[in-house]
Amino acid sequence: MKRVFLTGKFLAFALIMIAVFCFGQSESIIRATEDWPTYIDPAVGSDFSDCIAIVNLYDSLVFPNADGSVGPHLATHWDVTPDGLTWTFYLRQGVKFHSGNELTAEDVVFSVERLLTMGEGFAYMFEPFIDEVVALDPYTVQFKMKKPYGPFLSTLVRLYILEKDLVLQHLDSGPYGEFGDYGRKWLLEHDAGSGPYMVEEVKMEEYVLTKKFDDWWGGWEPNAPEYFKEMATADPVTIRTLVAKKELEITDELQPMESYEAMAKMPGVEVVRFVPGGMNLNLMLHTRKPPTDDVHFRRALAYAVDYKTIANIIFPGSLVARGPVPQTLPGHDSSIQPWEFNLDKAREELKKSKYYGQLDEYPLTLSWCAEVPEEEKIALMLQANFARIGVKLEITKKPFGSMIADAQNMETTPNCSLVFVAAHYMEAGGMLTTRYHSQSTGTWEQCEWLLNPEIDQMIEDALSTIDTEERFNKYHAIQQKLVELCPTIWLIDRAETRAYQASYVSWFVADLVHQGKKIALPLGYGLYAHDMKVFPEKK
Amino acid sequence: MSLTKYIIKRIVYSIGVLFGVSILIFVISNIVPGDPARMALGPRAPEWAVEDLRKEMNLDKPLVERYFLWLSDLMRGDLGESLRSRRPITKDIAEYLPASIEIIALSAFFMAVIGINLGRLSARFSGTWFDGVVRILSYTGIVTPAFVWAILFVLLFSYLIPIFPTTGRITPGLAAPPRITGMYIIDGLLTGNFRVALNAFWHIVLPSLALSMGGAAQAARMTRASMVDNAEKDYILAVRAYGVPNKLIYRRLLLKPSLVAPISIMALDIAALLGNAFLVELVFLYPGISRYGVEAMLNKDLFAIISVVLIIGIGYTIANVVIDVIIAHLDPRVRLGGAKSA
Repeated sequence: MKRVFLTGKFLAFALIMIAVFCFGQSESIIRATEDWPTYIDPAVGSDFSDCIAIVNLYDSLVFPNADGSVGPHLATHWDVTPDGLTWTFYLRQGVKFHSGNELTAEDVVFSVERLLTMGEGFAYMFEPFIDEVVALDPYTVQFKMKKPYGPFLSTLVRLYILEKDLVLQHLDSGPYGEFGDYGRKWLLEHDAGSGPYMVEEVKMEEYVLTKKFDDWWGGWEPNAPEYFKEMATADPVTIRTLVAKKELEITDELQPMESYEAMAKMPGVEVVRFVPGGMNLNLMLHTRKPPTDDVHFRRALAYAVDYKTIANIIFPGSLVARGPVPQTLPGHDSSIQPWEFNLDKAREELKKSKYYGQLDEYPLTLSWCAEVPEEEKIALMLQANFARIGVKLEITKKPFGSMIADAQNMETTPNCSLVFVAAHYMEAGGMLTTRYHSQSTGTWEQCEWLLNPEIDQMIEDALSTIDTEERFNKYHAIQQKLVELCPTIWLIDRAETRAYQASYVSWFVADLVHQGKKIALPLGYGLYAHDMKVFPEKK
Repeated sequence: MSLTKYIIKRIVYSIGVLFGVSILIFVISNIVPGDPARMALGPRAPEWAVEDLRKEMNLDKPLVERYFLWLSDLMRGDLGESLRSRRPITKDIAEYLPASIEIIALSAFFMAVIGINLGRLSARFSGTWFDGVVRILSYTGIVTPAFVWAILFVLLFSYLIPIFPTTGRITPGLAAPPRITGMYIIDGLLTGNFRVALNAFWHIVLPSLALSMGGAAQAARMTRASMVDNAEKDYILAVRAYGVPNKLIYRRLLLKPSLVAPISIMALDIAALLGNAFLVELVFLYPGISRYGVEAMLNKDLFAIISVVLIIGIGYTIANVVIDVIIAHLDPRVRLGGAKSA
C-alpha cells in the first residue's frame, strides 16, 4: 500500500514537472478564434476569418473609420474628375513591404489586375466598375472606370496591395497564362503585404500566427501585441477552457449564449455586444408567388412578427430593424420606423388582400438555414403567430447550399426565406444593390424576385452619383419605396457578441462600446491588432 | 497454405475491394446535390470564374470519363486539389494523416493496456465487488460517446486541474521538429529534440484517452467474458487439479486463447478511429484526417472526400489483415482457413 502511495506521489510530481517544462509562458500576444478555414490571399478570401487575417497582413489605399467613413491610408489624398470616371490616388512614400522593398504604384496596378483576373474574393465589388488601372508615376495611380461609381472609396477598403516582385518569384503552374497560378499556392501560407503584421506560421486547419512588423509605416504605440494569432473555433467547452486559462484573448461571435454568460462570470473577462455595420436578418418574401405576391398579404405578415423577442431573447443585443439598410450603415434612412407586432393591424391588412377568405388554399413555405440553429426558434414563432391570423406556414430546415440552389429558380424559391445578409461595403448602396436590383435575382441574396424596373433605375442613379450627400438622399428614397412595397420583413440588425480578457487586453471595439459610440466597421476590422494593447504582466 | 501466400491472397482481395469502394464513393460524391465549384468560390464569385473551375475539375465531362481521369491521376500519385484547402490533397494528407496516426497509436495502446488488464482482473475476481465495478465502468465506457469523454477530460485535466494542454499538436512558440515521418513524437525523438517529443506526447494524451475509452471498455468486457468462459474448460480444470496457482493460470494459460475476440474487435475499433475521431479532433482543435474528411464532406470537396474514404478503406483493410495474422498466431486452430478440418 505504501508503495502504491509513493508511486502515486511520484506520478503527480512528474506530471506537474512535465507540465511546467512544456508550458507556462507569458507573451505579448492576442489570440482570437473564428470560423474556419482562413484564406490569407487577398484575391481569394472574403469571409469573416479571411478578412481578419487579411486586414492585419495587408494595407489598402484607404482605411475605414469606426463611423463607416474612410480616411487616407496608403493613399494620402485623391481626386476624382467631375464625370466620376477617373480617380487618381497619390501614394504615401517610403512604405515598406515585409520584404523591405518599397511599395509603389506598380504594385497597386498588379494587385488590381490579379484580383480582377482571378475573379475570386472581393473581385465582384470591382469587376463591374473598374476599366483600367495605370501607374502614372511611382507614387500616383489612376483608376479609369467603366461608369461613374459613387461608393468607390468605400469599396477600396477591400482592395489590398501585394508586392508584385515577390509574388512573381513564387508563380506555379496555373490557368493564368504567363502568370501561372498568380502565386495562389504560395500565398496560401505566406504573405506579400505591407500591413502591420506579417505571417509567422500558417497551419491550414488550425491557425494563422502573425508577428508584428516593426518597420510598419504607421508606427507603433507601446504595448501593441507582438503576435496576433487567429485560431479555428472549437467546441464551446474548449473555448471556455481556453478563456479561463487565459490562453484565448478574444472569442469568436459563434458561441452559444449560455457560454457567453458563463465566460462573463470569469474573473477579468468581459462580454461585449455591439451592432457592427452591415448585417441584418431578413424574412425574404417571394413577390412573384402566391400568396406573397400580394402587398397587403406581405404587410399582414410584417405585423404578425414579434420583433422584440427576436432582438432581445433570440439574438440578444440586436436592434429591431428599421428598413432594408442596417442602422449603423452610412446611408441608412433614420426616418424609417420599425414594423410593430400588432395582430389587429395584421388582420386588417389581410382583409385587403386578394387571398382573404381562401387562405387555406395558400399555405406558405418557409426555409431556414440549418447552419444557424437559432433561426428555428424564429421559424416556429412565426408559425405560431401566423396561425393566429389564419395563415398556415410549412417550415423546412435546409443547408445553406440547398437554399442557394433553391434561390436560383423562381419556382423553387419558397414563399419565405430566413437569411442573414451582410453589407459588401460600408454604405447603403451595396446592400440595396445586392438585395433589390434585378441583377441579383437568382442568388441567395434576393429570394424576393422583386424585378422592379423603378427600383433598378433608382439604385443605378444613386450609385452613379459622386456627391455623397446627394447619393445618400437617393438611398433614402429607395429605402422608403421598399418599405412601401414590403418585399421583405426586416427582422433585426444583428449584434455581434464576443468575450475578451478585459483585465490585460485593451480592445478598441470594447472601448467604443463603453463610450456608447456607433461601430460601423467592415468585416475583420474589429480585430485590427495594431490598435489593440496587451499587458501580459497583468495576467 | 503458408502465411506468406495467405497474406498475398488477402492483399489481392483487398485491392479489389478498394477498387470497388473507389467507384462507389466517386459516384456517390458526384451525384449528391450541390455544385462543388460554386461552393468553393462562394456565392458572389462571377459565373465565368465558377465555369473555369468546373472545367479545371473536369466537371463538364461525363461521370465515367471523370472517373477514369481521376483514376489515371491516382496512378500517378496525384489525388487532385482540395477545394477547401486550395492545395494538393497529397500535401493535406501528408500533414493530417501522421497527426491522426499519432493519436490512434496511443489510443490503441490505451485500449489494449486498459481494456485487457481490466478484463483480466475482472475475470480473475469474477463475482466480487471489483468485477461489478469493472462491469459498470465497461458499460459506461461503451455507451458514452468519445466526444463526451473529450469534453469531460478537458474540464477535469485542462481546466480544473490544468496539467494537460487544451488544444493543438504542440505548444505555440515551440518549433515543430524537422519533418521525417510527420509524427512530431517520432520526429522529435529521431532528431534528438526530446522537449518537442515530450510536448507533442503531452498534447495527445487527452484526445487519445478520450478516443480509447469505448474500445477499452469493449475489450474489457470481451476479455472478461472470454476468460470466464475458458476458465470452465477441461484443460484449465486439469491444470487446476495439478495445483497450478490461480495467478499463473490467469496470466499464462487463460489470457492468450481468450484474446482472439477482444483483439478482433479492438483492431476494427482502431481502424474506425480514422474516420470517427472527428468530434474529438474538434474538441481539441487537433488537425487530424477525420476532421479534414468531415469538413470535406460538408463543403462537397469532391477529391478530398474520395481520398479520405480510400484512406479509411485502406486502414480497415490493413487492420483486417493484421487481425487475421495475429489471430492465426494466437490460436493455431484457426490458422489460415485453408487447413483441412479433422
